[in-house]
Amino acid sequence: MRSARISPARRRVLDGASAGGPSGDAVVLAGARRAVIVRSRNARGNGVAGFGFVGPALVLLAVLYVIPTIVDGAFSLTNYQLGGQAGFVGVANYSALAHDSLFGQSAVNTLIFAVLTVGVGTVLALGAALLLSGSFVGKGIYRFLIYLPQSISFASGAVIWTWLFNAQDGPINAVLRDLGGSGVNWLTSPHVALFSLVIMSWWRDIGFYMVVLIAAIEGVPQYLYEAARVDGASAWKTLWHVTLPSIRPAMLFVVLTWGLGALQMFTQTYIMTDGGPVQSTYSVVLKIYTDAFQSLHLGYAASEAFVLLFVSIIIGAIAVRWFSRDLERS
Amino acid sequence: MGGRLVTLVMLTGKRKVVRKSARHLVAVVVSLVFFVPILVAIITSLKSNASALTSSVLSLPHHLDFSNYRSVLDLGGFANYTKVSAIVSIGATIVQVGVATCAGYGFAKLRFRGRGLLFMAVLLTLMLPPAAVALPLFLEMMHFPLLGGNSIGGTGGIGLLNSYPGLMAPYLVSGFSVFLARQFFSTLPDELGEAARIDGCSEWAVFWRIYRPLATPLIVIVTLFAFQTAWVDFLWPLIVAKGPSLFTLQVGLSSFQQEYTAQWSDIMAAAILASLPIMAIFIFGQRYLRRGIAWSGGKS
Repeated sequence: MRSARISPARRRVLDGASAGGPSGDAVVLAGARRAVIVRSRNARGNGVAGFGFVGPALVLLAVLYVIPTIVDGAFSLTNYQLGGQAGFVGVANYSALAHDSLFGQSAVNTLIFAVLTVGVGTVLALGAALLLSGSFVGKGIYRFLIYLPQSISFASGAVIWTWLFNAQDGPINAVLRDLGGSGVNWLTSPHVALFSLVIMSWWRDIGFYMVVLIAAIEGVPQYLYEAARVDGASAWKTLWHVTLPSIRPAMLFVVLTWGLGALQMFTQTYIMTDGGPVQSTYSVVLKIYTDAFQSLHLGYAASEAFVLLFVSIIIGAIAVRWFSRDLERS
Repeated sequence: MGGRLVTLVMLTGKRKVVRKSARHLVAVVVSLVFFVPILVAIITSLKSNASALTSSVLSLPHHLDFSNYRSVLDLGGFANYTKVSAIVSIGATIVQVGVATCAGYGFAKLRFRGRGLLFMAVLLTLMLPPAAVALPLFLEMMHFPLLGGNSIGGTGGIGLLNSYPGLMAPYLVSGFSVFLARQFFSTLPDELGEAARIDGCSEWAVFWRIYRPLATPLIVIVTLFAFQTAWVDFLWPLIVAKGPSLFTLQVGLSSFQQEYTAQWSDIMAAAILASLPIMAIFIFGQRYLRRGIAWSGGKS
């Protein structure tokens, strides 16, 4: 039974967190013999071995993820410049951020990009998943082709789409002109460029989320569909009242992962537009990058990075709450 | 196509056939939308720079011309970028697989104080966006004590910047692969280890001789994920490598494109080269990658 793939794992994770592992009830349920073994294992100092196994991963995670996060918070309170001294300036960087119009513009661009990419992209991925699940001859090859862009790195994909979108010589405009239309300034018009980056991201990522959603859809128990058929529900009603509620955890997973990824938009805009035209595709991470490594204002860039960290963690926390509430209800 | 549909309808008179054909039609169009950009890139990479601009996009070149690939590898410096990418990705993958397998086993099969809390902390690191962590990690690498000319206080030199360890750093561990490994080991029975312990095996021997041989599918999946992450990353190598001698393929590709604007055939050859190993993994490792996606969704 593959139903509701995400929820059992999450439940296990949450159980593990609140009760310190598959503790109490597991032992009770497994009966006396196992209880004896578990007790003797604890008595043999299993705890030390456990730390030995998880230790390297925890140390590396601390050094490479947790400490940098704290370092970032500390540096964001300084006027540190590359090659210079770090002086404490309090929250001056943050109040400067509030008046930094390019940061504001970048934040708005990034949000529009994320909402369009994930909002519309999830619907498209769901459509593809519904189209290609169930019994359907040749579904394997269709899935493979839609999934294939995942094998192209972001940088390669960005370079390829720079060519496809090229206004003078690019293939897309060539086809549009052959059809009697006029070319579009895909990457050179401030009204279009951000949307062009969204198209590239759809192309790159829809396949992955389609596969996630197919796995969830094919895990919905058949008897639910049969019950719907017996009740004479239309295809639309079946989708709305049977399929969608059953794959809610997978949908949340898609929106969360994709959304957090989209907020980090960088490679596309760095390679395809360099933030232009007229800063219409400037993203938060591109702003951090230029402030840190071109203007060398590392302290200021650290405060920008901290805002991004903070927003991501808040979104993550809200999503985790949704997940667990979902589980309580189901 | 439309004519054939109508004929089919008249012959069978069944709506089912129409619906089925329509479904195939949509599927064909959608898959082409996703596939054609790759196809165009490959075809363009096999043409001369001049004919890429003059000939129709999907027209095949008269003869297959791999000279663009050769010139990109030799003159464009891509041979060296490939070497750097390979060292970084393979090195980091080996560490990540080892670390994640051990940790996943520990979290799934061994008991110790604070296990649940520590595992929750591992999951929380998944919320930290790598792009935001890159800047402080850069500072940390720059001020790494006693390496790269640094004093014990971490000043004076460049630390781990512009070095292989520095390039590998973010991929040495991943909360996601630890999570995958824990999911995998939870599915294996505890009794195997208990039996070995009663026979007097050490904890390490229980892991290495009993559980690790059963974990091949997990190791394959973590290897593929880790290699792919390290290979395609762009921001981190962009800020850590100071010059072309330590550029990875992705960074080299971006600098190549800026230098040789409008030489589209060469640029497409470079773009295909930069993704080639990942494409190979996809075509040959598909089965494993899908299983990995299913596990991460908690089917265990």
